[in-house]
Amino acid sequence: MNDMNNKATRMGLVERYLEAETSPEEERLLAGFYNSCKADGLSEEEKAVRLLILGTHGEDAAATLEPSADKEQEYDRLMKTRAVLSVRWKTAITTAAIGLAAAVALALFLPVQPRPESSRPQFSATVPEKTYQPAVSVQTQPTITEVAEGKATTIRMEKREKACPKRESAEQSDKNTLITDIGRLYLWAGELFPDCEKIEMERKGDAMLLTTTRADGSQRFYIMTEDATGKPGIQITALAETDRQSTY
Amino acid sequence: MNQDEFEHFVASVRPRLHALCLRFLARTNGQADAEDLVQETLLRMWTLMKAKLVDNPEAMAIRMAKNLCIDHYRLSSRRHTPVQGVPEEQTTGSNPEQELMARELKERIDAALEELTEAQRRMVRMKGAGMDNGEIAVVCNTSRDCVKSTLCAARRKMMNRLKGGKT
Repeated sequence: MNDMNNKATRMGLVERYLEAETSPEEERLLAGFYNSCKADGLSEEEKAVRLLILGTHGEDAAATLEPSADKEQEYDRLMKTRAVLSVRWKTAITTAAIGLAAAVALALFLPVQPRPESSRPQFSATVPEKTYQPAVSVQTQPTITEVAEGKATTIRMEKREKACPKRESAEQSDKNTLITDIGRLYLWAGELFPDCEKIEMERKGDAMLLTTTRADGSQRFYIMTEDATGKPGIQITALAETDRQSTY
Repeated sequence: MNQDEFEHFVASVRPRLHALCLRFLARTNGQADAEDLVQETLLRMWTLMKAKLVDNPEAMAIRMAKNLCIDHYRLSSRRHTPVQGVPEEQTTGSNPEQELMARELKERIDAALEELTEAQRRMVRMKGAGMDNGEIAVVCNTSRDCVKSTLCAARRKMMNRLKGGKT
């Protein structure tokens, strides 16, 4: 402490203090000196040094406090609560993500398959029976003599407007493509050959090959084409007849 | 406790303390830096260990860190910024004149400390608590030269503030 009364020694130590080169013991020595001396006898420079040392030196009261058990319990409780909430959120988000992924996977791997031609429902199933009216003008079933082999018979469509009014516009715009309307052809064929057990049609270029099978297994073959006169209608020409069923 | 022992202790406990503080701040949306809480914990542990008040330093450090986390959480909840500065004991004097002087001293020191960065303020506190530069470097996970330059800058800045702000 006696050395500290020497201003030159003291100021040298202060300079080292400001340079942060002093040891804790030297700083305690400075603090002890400035704590015991009066500020009145010091220069302005030293008064500021005194304030600095006394203001920043000394045991930190807060640092010596023992940790509190209550705070430790509060910490554990807070972390536990937050952890539970966090787990719930994570579970909800994970579940939503899994559900979304499953939906996407189903959409990707199970696309709607187009139905093959053979699995199409029968015409009778797609056209309600009540609304169905024959679109052909023939009143009686044609016989094989009427539709003789190589002789064309024309089926006119006088009743079509009344039969299917909802399809009128389609028919008007499709007059020349009646042969492509498989459903309508089946309808006509069903009216034309009501005693046939089976009617088959097969497209052959612009024409349609019609095969009828009766209960006794005999088959008859016809060719169906658009009416050559340009009027809306189908021309049916008998081709051949077999006495037993065979694949054509 | 010498510096080697303290350094060994810090090296062993720092990762756990950092993880603990980081987890707490993440859960509570705390705005503080986990490293700040770790360094504050180590400063207090140094004080306790130096006074030989600790039987199980690691367990004590964990408890201390949890306490500091809760302190930070409460302060954040109150939207109050803690001012670390002169200990309260210096503001209580035996007579009104001393008390007035102590209050004035505290206000001026607080104003000077406010101008420091967080790292400078923390090192000034550590130095004031009696740590040497090597121990501060261990706690702050930095070099002695860095501690020295930071402290020097902080003390010069405070000196200028105290001289300029003198009434």
